[in-house]
Amino acid sequence: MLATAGYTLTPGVSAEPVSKDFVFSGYLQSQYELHQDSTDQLRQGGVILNQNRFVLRRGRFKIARDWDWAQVLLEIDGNTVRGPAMRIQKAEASLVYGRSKDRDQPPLAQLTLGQFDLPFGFEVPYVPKVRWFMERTQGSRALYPGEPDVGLRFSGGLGFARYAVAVTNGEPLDEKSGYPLQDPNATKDVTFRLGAETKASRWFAVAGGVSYNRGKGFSPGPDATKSSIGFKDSNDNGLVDPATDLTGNTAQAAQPSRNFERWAVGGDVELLLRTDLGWSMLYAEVVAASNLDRGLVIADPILGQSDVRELAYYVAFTQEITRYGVVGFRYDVYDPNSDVLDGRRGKLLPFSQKITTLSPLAGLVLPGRARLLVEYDVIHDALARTRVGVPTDFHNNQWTLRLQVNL
Amino acid sequence: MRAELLACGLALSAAVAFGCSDRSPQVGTGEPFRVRYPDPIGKGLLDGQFVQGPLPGTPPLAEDAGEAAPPSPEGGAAAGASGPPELTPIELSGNVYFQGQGNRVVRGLASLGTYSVGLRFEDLGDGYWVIPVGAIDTANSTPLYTWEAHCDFASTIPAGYHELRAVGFDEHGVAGVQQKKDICIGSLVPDNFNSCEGSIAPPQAVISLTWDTNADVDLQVLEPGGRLVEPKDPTTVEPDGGPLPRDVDGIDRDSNAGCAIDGIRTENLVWHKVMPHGRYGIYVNLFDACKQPAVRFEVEVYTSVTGADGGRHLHRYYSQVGELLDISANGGSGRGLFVTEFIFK
Repeated sequence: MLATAGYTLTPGVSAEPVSKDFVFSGYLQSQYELHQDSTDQLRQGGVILNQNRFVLRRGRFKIARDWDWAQVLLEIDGNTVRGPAMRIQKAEASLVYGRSKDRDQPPLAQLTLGQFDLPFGFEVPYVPKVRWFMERTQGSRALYPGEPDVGLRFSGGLGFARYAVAVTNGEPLDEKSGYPLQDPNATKDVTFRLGAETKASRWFAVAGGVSYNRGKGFSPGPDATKSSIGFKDSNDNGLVDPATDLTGNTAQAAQPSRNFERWAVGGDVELLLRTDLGWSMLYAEVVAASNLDRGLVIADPILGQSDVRELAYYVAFTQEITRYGVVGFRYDVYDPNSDVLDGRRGKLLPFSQKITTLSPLAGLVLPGRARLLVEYDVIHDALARTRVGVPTDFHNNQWTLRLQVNL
Repeated sequence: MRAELLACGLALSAAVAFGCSDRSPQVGTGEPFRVRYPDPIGKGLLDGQFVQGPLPGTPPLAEDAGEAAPPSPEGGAAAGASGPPELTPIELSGNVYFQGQGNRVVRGLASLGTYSVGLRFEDLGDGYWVIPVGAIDTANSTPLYTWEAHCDFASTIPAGYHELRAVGFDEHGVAGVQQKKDICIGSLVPDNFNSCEGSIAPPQAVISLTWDTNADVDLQVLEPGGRLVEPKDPTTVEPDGGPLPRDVDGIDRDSNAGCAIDGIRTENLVWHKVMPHGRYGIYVNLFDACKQPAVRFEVEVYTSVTGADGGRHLHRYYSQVGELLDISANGGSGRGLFVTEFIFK
């Protein structure tokens, strides 16, 4: 029922029933974005600041083959988010035991080795093909910049219970600290979600779970340097005054890299109700984490000399309007550092870096085939300053118009 | 149905309205004057906040004096945090500023009622920059807050004097009296600061090469006598092993030499005292593309003429733009792209 309706309430642990043939599937998400903070300039280093643009957000093609005891799955993604790119999104080789004919029921046990979505919470493994909202929430994208990581996963379900345990490199795709899908330290990250999913009736289903992630981050030590001469125009006269402007920089030794602890704990709940109007879905999630931001405000407690506490939560609601329309609303909050200080008038004052996003959404649907969605993200943050020098909201709201067509 | 159409129209209008603007009123990356300030916690610099519009506050009190009276304990500003925001005169680091220069420090002191400082050039840009004041200046007998702005100047700022204004804001965002300082922005084409001080004579002639990407491009000028002047051999006189005079005619720099990027992207052949005569061949050589696919350049020829004010000024006689592809890079093995022949009379 849920799989048919397109709502997989425990993503990442549901195996399709055996098909004797190769199964091809895919979808294309193309969109036009309008950003309030867009400007026709380049950032230092050449990053484009204009964000009012057409984007091929996701062009995914998946091929899968199932046998009684095994499954192989390969998903390729092409996009133009940071220029044209083609990459492997998922590559899963699985051994499967205890398949069910019910498409909503995962196998009893599935052992997967490869590149798969991390089983943390609801949003990370919830596939973009069925998610109504354009992107995951700000907090989810900061803590898990990309959904997949490379490793080993053991997952399945028994009755209403669902479980997934993964051991991975701990550097997911698109993470910005420098080693996506690689691993600079020997320690592996452990991620698990223990949950439940039950269909109270044909019209009502409820699911939820708790998740945990623990691992070690990596703070790279700087490379060695040679001796050099430095010039600083001390009196700004444009001339080289040897006595004041030239300094000798002695060779610097390479510094050892260091690991640090990081973790996250979360809980999620999903309610699904079918009325004459269509499916309604209400879901929410909360995540508390430490030193885990790898996408927005990169956490490095070695450089920062103190642990960084992150907090993220959201509530989302979507309502189908017959089979041909949808509306939705999401409220999400992400605090990248609960202990941040701001220097003002010679004093260090605590302030909130919280980013709050309100995302109304509406769309037209060709059932099972296409979606035309529009979303407006109202973003409140503290990235600008008032005249007085106090952090205030930076005007960076955005519109997105997206067309998705399934293969 | 009509209401739905109206709603759609409004939504579309809103989208188009903020989609068609090429800049945000809070983003000042396209401004000719940009400001950063020291991070009070870290070691780096933070971007100042750009605000579109004129600089608030009362214009400087005395037009001829140019500066408002500095705050003092007697005036009440320093006695408590409730006084009006007042600034001491703007302090500059050095007197030489150039088009395109970055990270020049402008600083000052502010009364205890000041929370932040706004900065803008009176005649440049579309808005002003706000930076928070720093710590109290302990070296001063009167307790005053410090402020420090690291300023970047776009190469498009016209050479000459420009009036920099600064104003303090109190805790409610109310601005005080503005301070002002005239700053001379020197031209990238060497003119001995003639654009600021007309009484100083400019060089007799200048051939100037500028380009747009960080590649190693060289100006080459073939003199009537057959001598090729270029950054490797920069003077118009044959060196004899002895020291050269400071104002010897020649090319002023080798910009981005060997792909050591300096960002100046300008080379000038300057005749300081004597006007050149004869037919000069001008070439532009791509020494090393420095991984850039192409570079667009402009060659300009200036000569000193008598202006309407009776003073001598540089006048642009000739200009030519062109483009070089990375495959043209020759490592200095030959002469570059021929641009033109110019006859000095």
